[in-house]
Amino acid sequence: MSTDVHTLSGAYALHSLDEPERRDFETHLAGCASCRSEVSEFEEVTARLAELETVEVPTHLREQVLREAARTKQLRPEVPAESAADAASPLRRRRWAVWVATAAAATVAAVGVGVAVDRLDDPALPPAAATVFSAPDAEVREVPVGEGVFEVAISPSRNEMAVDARALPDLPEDRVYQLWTVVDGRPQSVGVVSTGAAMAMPEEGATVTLTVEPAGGSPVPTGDPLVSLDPSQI
Amino acid sequence: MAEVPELRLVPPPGSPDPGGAVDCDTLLARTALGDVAAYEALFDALSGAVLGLARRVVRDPALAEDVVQDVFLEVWKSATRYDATRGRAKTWVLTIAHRRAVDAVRRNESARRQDAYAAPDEVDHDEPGAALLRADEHAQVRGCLDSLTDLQLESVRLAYFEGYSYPEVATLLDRPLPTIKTRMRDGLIRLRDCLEGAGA
Repeated sequence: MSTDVHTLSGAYALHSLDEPERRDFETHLAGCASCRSEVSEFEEVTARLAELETVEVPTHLREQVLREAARTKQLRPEVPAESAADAASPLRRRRWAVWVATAAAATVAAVGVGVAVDRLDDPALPPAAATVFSAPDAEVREVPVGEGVFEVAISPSRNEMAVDARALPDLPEDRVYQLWTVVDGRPQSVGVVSTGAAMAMPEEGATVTLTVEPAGGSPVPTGDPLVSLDPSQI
Repeated sequence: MAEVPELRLVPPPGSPDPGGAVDCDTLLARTALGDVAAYEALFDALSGAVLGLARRVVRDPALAEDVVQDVFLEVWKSATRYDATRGRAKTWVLTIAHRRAVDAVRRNESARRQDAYAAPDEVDHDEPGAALLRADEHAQVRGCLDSLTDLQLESVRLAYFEGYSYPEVATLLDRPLPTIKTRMRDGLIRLRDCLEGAGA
């Protein structure tokens, strides 16, 4: 029995296996529900052991961690296999791939404040927009839109703003996304956005708004605003 | 267009738990939504244990702080992927913490490790007491640790608190590999059963 792989559960939970053994055991775990539950129980035990060691945390460390987190982008939730399979169209699959790639490259960007993920080598985004997203002082905001996401970056040093529309939900053939700046309730078209766009930083007090419009775009917005944000708040 | 709803990226932070008990599961769920206040509260609830464990395993204050930083950044980034059905939030965080601490120590393959190999007799077998006795408030866990056999306790201690691999533990304790592997597992089983019994 001593060679039974099951008995490695303790050493595994204590992180005392070497890499090859750990991988082997994880392969075994994938097909062994009772092993998984035993490991979970062991982890509950070791967490109790960790608590025995509780010490005070220096203020500088707390500040450092919170500051770092504020500049770090959270991973996108994993897509369950079924939904990925449902997303049948090649375009849709490509977008998921972009999402995954973006998440994997999540060196930065943030909720609210951040530095941009490097997109200079991403051919799908117009270079002007990629430049803003990749500016050293870029601050990026992700706005959920339905099942997709709309990203807006500003670069104070360049006094420019850019948007990335590639991860927005798919539209029917005869519909497009259109971007507007709204000042004092008066919308002005920035243009139809398929991949992304860059523009001068909108004037103070302007709101940036995204709508769905008939193909070719509209002179004034006809769709409900999907996104509406104040660029100075990014 | 004037009445467009104001954009909200992050749900407003919930009110602090009036009972004072910190519910890490809830805090982690809110962290997954980008709630910075929840993340800070989660940090405050668990960073003391993470830092203590890291110091214990890596034995280098600066490296221990790096571990804390790594752990909580991983928590921040991966909160969106945490699967609540697979265990409690606290356990998830402290499991990450231990893995990171062990990784740090293995990466360093430090002088201490070679010293330990060169002079296994210097391993201080009374040491668990030092760490474990410190924690009077954890009398229950301590009581359960006391219920282990010496070999179970040493196997678990050297692996968990000192970050040794199980072949290293076998060398240090001068026992065959299968014995150590088995003692680790039955030691944890005994602890689990003891804690469950005491907690019920």
